[in-house]
Amino acid sequence: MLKNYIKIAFKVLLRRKFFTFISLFGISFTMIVLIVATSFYDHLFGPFPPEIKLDRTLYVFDLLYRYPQGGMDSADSENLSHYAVERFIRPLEGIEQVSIFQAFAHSHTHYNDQGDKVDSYLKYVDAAFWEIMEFNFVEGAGFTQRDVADAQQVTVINAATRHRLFGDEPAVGRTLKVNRQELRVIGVVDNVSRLRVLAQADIWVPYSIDARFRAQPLRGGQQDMHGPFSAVILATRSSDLLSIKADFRQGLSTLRYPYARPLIIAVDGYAETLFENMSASLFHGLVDDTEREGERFPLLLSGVIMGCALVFMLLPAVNLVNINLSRIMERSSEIGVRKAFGASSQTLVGQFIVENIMLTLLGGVIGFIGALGVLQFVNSIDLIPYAQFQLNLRVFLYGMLMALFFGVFSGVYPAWRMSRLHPVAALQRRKK
Amino acid sequence: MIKHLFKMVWNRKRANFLIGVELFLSFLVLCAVLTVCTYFLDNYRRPLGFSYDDVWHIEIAHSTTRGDEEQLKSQILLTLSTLDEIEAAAYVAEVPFGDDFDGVSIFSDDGKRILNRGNWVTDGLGKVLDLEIVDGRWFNREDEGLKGDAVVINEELAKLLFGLESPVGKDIRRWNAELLESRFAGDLAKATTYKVVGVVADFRGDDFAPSTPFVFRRVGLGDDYVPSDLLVRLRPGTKAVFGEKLLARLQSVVQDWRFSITPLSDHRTTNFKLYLSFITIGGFVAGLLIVMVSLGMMGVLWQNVTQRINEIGLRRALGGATRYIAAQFLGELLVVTTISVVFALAIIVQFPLNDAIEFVHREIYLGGIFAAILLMYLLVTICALYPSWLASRVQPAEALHHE
Repeated sequence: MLKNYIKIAFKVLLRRKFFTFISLFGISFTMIVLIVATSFYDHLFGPFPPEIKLDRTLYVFDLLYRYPQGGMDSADSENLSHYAVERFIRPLEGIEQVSIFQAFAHSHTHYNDQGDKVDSYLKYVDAAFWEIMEFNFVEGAGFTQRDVADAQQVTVINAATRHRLFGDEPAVGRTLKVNRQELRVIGVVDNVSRLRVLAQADIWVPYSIDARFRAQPLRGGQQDMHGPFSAVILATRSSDLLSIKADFRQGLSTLRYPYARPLIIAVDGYAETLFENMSASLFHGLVDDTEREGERFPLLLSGVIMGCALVFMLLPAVNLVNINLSRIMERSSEIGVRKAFGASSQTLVGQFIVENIMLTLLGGVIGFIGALGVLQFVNSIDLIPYAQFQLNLRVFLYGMLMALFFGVFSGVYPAWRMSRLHPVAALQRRKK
Repeated sequence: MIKHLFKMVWNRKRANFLIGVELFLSFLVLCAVLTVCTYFLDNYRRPLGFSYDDVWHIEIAHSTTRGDEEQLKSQILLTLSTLDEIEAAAYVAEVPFGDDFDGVSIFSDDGKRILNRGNWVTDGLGKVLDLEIVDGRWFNREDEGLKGDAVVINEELAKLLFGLESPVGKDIRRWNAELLESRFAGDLAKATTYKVVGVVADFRGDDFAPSTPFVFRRVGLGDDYVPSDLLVRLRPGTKAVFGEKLLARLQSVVQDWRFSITPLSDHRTTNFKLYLSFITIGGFVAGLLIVMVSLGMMGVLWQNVTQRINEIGLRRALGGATRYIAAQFLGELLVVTTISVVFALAIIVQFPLNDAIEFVHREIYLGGIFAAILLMYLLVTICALYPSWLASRVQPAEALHHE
């Protein structure tokens, strides 16, 4: 049955080539845009090196300090101190590893031996960072617990920095100067896209070499919760994520914040997945976030993304519906015969939708090839530093899903109209 | 004739409805694209209001734990003034070509928030950015007593608040009743106003930013808050290698702060590239959407002609001239287009009325819509040309024989 439908669909496609071209042009163009957008989405949120173990990873970006209603602005967010990590994160159940690092890399200017200006992004991290994140090492390795504990002046750089400083020669063992400190290169990694904000940098250094990052002194007999760090948690199993999230908030709720002024009534924090974290930072400030509930922002972001895709599909879908409708009339004799021989309306609707899905899937495949070209162009002009947009199985599946949806979306109405043709009228309207 | 065309359209209302929906959506796309394009073009041709050549941006990254940041920052400024290559230096909260400039807001006398943008700056900025003073003066030490409440505004804001009067020496409202209530429990004594000391011609943050009301708010070096971004104007002809010396000098003032230096012209290039890629991508996608719609429209009309061949044959047999038949097909489509455009316009005019689009001037908006209407009719006419011609070529004998 399906085979016959496909055969018929193919024959129809070959019948009036101009129309086939118009339909396919619209579908492929729509699919190119959607697939490129999907690839962009995948680049932002998908598991790419170094963030491969995303299904077991949670980020604690900052903590929220809430004030009583009416006093100050309702809440402040601050990064974490060593103490906050040791007390509220490390003891959690089901955790394999915890890394503390500086969430945003700082830009930093220095001058190389030739006197050329070199701008780099610098990030302070610990040793566990290299185990949770799976960087592709070109040479050498990340720093160890020992290096961090002894405040060894070592560094890991990316391939672009190696190229700028040492001209693609092996760099391990050579030194570079950052803030008047001579750092010995112990590893070189592949470039990480600037869009992977939490992992990316040009130069990674152990946090202990900078006085600002060492454990904070006691303040008034109490440990300080504020610090320069964010944390990334690697859970033992991905099924533990929910309980870790809940335990973390539970733990924070037991804290009685020591300072009287400004009065802080509660400390709150969220352990979030990459998607949750990114959506929270995207909508931060745009939406009232005094209650930054874990699920609200991701839902909002997914809604916005899907809404955009739907709105974008609307015009191409109406266009395709119009073309399909006018092509039905061409086939009125065929429909008439089938109805006269007892085909039900549902059968005809099914047939037409299958035909339309065939067409959109074909457009999807063409769209895929087109998207490949577009992405290669985007990668070649270096629109976003180090970003390599790519098509992979995930993007392919999403793309096919969208083509399927588009096929149904634009096929239902013409199919319904077609199934309602009266057999007598349909047979009468014979053409050439 | 026109009444007749409406009747023809009505008779085929189901088919025409879908065509209408498609034209309606396409018109919305055209309006959006053309309004955005005219908006950017109009902004681009306006003067920036400042000069960025020979200006460097120094970003300072520092911890907030020391407690003497403000003192160190004025020390840095002092050090910079000893360097021969530097003509002027100033701290700014937001840097041109990238930042948002949404840090200051003010209110009109009736408590309405005036849409404005602003920046917190120290005294040197007038010289660093070469701002053109048209009335009054730029900030200086005399403003110290005003405790951060001295402002310089741009001509647009001056016109908005004071009309033709000179705004120098006048006060501007900082709060409205609502804010006053939430901050100071309505205590009027604590509510201060801004005092205008001068007027600059204009200030736009980047090449494509709109000309909007703008406020420079003065920051004294002794204040609680001093921004962490420095802008310095170099003596013309200073070489890029001076950066190395500058960096060493800065590091010698504060060892553990980190500095990054970028020429303002680099920021401009980056910013330009960003806008350009957005405009190109948007324009490309919209353009292809319109091509797709045009092709589809042509196909549908073509199919219509083949379907209505009997009708055409009859008209021809009864003596209808070929050009009338072509005009009928074109006319029907134009009627559908007009109906769609009217519906779309009814929706579009809601936007400026609701202040949904804040910075777009009315003329730009109307210009964009007008261009969209023209383009829409042009496109539809082009789409209808070939099918109409085809219809006019129908031979009456053949057509009537068709059934």
